[in-house]
Parts: sequence; structure tokens; C-alpha cells
Amino acid sequence: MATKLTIGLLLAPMIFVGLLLSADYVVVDVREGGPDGMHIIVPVPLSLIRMALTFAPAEAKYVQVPEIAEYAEYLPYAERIIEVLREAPDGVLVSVEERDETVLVEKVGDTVEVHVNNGDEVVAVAIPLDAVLDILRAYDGEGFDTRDLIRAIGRAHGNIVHVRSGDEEVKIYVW
Amino acid sequence: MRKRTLTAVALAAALLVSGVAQAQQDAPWLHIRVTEAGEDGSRVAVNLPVSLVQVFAAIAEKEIRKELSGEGSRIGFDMDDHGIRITDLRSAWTELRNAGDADFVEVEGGDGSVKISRAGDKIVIEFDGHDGDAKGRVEVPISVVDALLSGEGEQINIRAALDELIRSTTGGEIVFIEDGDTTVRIWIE
Repeated sequence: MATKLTIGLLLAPMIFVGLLLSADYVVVDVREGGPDGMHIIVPVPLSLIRMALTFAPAEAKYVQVPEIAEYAEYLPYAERIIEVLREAPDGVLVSVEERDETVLVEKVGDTVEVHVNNGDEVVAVAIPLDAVLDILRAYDGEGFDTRDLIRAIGRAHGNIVHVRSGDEEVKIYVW
Repeated sequence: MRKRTLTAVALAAALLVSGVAQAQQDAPWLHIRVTEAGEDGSRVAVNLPVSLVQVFAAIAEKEIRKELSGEGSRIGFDMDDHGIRITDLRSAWTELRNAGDADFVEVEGGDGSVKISRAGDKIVIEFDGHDGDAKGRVEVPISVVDALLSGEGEQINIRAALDELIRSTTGGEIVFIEDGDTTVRIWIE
């Protein structure tokens, strides 16, 4: 009995460490401006969130969005749009150049990247098309299973959000 | 023998994949350019795969059908009610189509002139502001109008019109508008 308990106690942290090492991480990186500004990095292992959700209360396991049902008839079109974009060659979809601001929407591989730069602020968002498709398909008429949403986020790789305003910066990336 | 078969299969697969990739590269795109003159002028470029525009056309068609059937629209597409029925439009178009090259409409007003005419296999809409500011030309192939009105009853066939527009205008300009310092160009290539 003591041996089994010892093995169990040894295995549990090993499984935990294994999960951490093999997981996709969403990393939130916030850098405050100024000489005393803090730099906060929060790595969130997606597989642990998925595992934790198993034991979470029902409200946390499901995101209710009944409003989308009103537009449900357009979801197949949205899926088709994503599929067409996935198949399209890389290139600039939209570019707006004004005196103080530029906006660029570009298809790069399996992502659509949006870049906005007005001199003071820079926003870059990479939207993974596979993740959007997964999210669209995960909608069941009432809402989403949270685990499906987490799985969809895990489809992304690299920087997904980068916002810089003055000397403050927020980055969200998946690796 | 097995090695040869495998090589042949691998070659065929490679050709197929490169063929699909080439087809994607060669697929037509809709291009829109809006350019304001001057160093500070805005420049807008939109490039969309035509297959994407076809999806938008399918949505528009669905919305128009709803509007015509009185079902209403959920995404805010409103058809202006000018009392023109599609069936009447179709009959008028049949008459105009058979009329050959002619000026169908000429409007001279204080603000400028508008002329709609048929030139060969195209309907040409030209407008010209008297102050010389706004000036434009829109060319629509006759086959596109045919396709647009190919639906039945009070239905218009946007998808067919778009398919025909792609087929007949690829490589050519569809819209060219000059309005003061602003130029708008739309073409498929």
C-alpha cells in the first residue's frame, strides 16, 4: 500500500510537469512605460486549462451566446469566407494610407494579419483562419463549449496580438 | 516495377499539387483603388479573390430575396422602393437589348449630365459634372445584365451576373470615376 502511495505521489508531479512541458502556452506580456514600469509575463498552459475545465462548474464549461443564433443562417457563408481565404494566395487584401495612419490587412499563410499604425499607437493582430473556422463550427445554436474555444486558441502560433502605445506594450502570443 | 509505379504516382501527385497551386495563383481578383491627389491624399487599395466576392454576392442575393418576399433583412440590407418591379425591368431590358447601339438615356441638368448608351456588347454609363469635378464611366457587358435578369418573377440573379462579369471583364476596367481630386478604379484581373 505504501509502495503504491509512493508511486502515486511520484507520478502525479511527473504528469503535471509533463503536461506543462508539452503544453501550448498563451503568454500575455505586458510592459508598462516609464523607468519604474513593470514588466509582467503570464504564461498560461492551455492543456492545463482544458484539464482544469473538467473539474470546473458547468457555467465555466460553456459560454452562452444565444445572440449568434439570430445570424445562424449566415454561419455557412462565414465558413465559406474562411475557406476561400485559406485557399487564396498570400497578399494584401486591404491597404489604407492616410497622412497620419496606415491600415493593412494581409493574408499571410494561414492567418489574416491586421496592422494599424497611427504614429502614436501600433496595433497588430494575427487571426488564425483555422481557429476561426473551429470556433464557427463549435457553435451549437446556443453557445460554445469552453474547451473548444481553448482548443481553437491553441491553433494559433506566434504573436496574435501586439499593441504598442507610447512606451507601453502588450503582447499575446502562443507557443 | 513497384519503384516505377511509385515514382509515377509521386510525379502525378506533384503535378496535381502544383496545378492546384497555380490555379489558385491564377484565379481572378477584384481590385478597387481609391486615390486622392496630393501628398496628403488618402490611398485605399482593396484586393479580394473573386471567389470571396462570390460569397458576398450569395449573401446579397439572399438578402434581396428576403426583402422582395417581405421577410425583411437582419443585416440591414435595404432595397429602395422606387416602385420598379423586376418583371417590368426585364421586359424593358428585352426591348432595349434588341434596339442595337443607341443612347437610351440623356439627362442634362444644372449639376451635370448623365448618358446611358449601348455601344456594341456593352452598356456604357457616363456622367460629367458641369464644373468639371465629377466625371466617370461605368461599362457593363450586356451579358451581365442578361445574367442579372435571368431569374424568374421578381428575382434577380446576382451570382450569375457576377460570374458573367468575371468571365467577360477579366483584364478590363469596369469602373473609372474621377471626382475632383479623387479617382476610383475597379477592375478584375
